[in-house]
Amino acid sequence: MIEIKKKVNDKNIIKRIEIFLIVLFIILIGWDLYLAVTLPDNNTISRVIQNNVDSGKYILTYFWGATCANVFFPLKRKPKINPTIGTIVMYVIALLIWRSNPEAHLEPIVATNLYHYGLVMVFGFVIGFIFWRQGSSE
Amino acid sequence: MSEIFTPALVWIIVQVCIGAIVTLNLILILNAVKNDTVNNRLSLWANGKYFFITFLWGVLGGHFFLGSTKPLFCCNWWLPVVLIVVLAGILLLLRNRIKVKPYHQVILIFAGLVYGHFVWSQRHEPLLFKDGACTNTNIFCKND
Repeated sequence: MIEIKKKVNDKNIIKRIEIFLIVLFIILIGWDLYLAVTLPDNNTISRVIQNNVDSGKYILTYFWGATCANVFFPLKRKPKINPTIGTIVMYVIALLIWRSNPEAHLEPIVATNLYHYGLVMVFGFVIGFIFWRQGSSE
Repeated sequence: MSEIFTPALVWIIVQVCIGAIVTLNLILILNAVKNDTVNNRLSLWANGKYFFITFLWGVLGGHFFLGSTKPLFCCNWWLPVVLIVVLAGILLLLRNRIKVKPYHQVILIFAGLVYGHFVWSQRHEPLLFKDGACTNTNIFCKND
């Protein structure tokens, strides 16, 4: 009896989280549309994120890649690397990217900023793919 | 009303939203319920019927971080946005026909990145909107 009740509660919690996520994304998309069609210019979410990346916050491109590997490429089996250790490694590397100046390190290798962003996105994906995978759950 | 949303304030709100999701995720990892984290729910959706999420993630990657300078649709900046809705709708209609596999996810991510980079680029705008005006009303831009 207790087991059945627990499962119902679990499902309710998951349902509420799903509703929260859907509502949050709908609000953000609606707000972004509002920002796009009203003044001042250049204040949309995408423009603000792009400006921050252009000014050196490469951590955003890193997280895009790592999240990509984590969400879209789950494992069919249990991860070989302990998930807690893997998550710590992923965040430590993120911290290093945030604290260091990756732009200065990448400048001698490739001059174009766009290639820097692409490289950090791929780097984030590789780190996420190796250290931050989630096992398939259902 | 819209004037209060300066880029600095928008950035603060974006950071608050990211912080809220990360904090929520941390709480969900530590609680007793399994498979309830944000990335777990997104993963189940994207690897199940709602694989349009994978395509949209690629589009956002190309749109936020990459971006070509040569515009495809000239002043029709709204056309790429409408096309994304149409493409996402088509992928949603295909939800029961395709059992998504990892190679589908690779294709969807790459297709999204290509779309975000070439079609829905934010770096087109300075070329198009000189002094706030855009005069080329062709659907497709020509080299002249």
